[in-house]
Amino acid sequence: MAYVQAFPHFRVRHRYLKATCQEKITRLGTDLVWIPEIEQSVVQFGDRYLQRMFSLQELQDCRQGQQLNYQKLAARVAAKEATMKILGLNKDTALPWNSIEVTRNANGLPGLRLHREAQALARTARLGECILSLSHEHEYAIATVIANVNVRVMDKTHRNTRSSSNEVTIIHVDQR
Amino acid sequence: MSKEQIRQVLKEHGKFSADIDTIADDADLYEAGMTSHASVNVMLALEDTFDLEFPDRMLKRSVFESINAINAAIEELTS
Repeated sequence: MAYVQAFPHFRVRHRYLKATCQEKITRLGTDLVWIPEIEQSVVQFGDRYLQRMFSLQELQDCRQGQQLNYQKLAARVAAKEATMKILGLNKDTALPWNSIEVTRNANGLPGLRLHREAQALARTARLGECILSLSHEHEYAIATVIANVNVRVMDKTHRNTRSSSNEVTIIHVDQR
Repeated sequence: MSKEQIRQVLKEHGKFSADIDTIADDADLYEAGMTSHASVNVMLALEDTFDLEFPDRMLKRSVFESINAINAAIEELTS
């Protein structure tokens, strides 16, 4: 108050705002997989590997008759890795691979369905809809995931507002 | 003995470019070149070698980040 009195020509106005403004932040994850590595794992560990990595539906989507399509499997492994990158994992985060599932809609477009641990992590990270793209060529498969993160931020246009030459406005922002 | 068995599993499945024998027990295996996918193969091979199963709660980077960490996890699962 003494400070204000020292500058009698300025009028101090207090404004109280709630920080309800939202800003979209985009997270992007991508991963590249060498297809023969997936085939080696299947040959070596069989069903144990497949069950740890994929859902039953994913395995169905990757079968052509009785044969597994390793290009499709590798693309799904890349998608799971790419998704892990946007989930904000640390080294103590337990995340089973099969909690991230690659889906196909009626038009054949790929999507993501998150279960259990992956779903909880996505909620914590405030991830919105995830968009997935898959591709494979010769020995490599690649996947890219993009997701929006909803973040509440202070509206910067209200910072340090000076209403007129002799009025200073102090903004108090409640970010709860 | 078990650390030697762990080294053997890492040699066969870790896909390291460096000789595993030059990697210290407390060295970071991911820094040494092990990928997340290679760690799945390592985990499955460890299950075969030690006749155990890693539960979902242990499927995290810190469990497979070093030979010491893997050894501690195996001790926990076999105790």
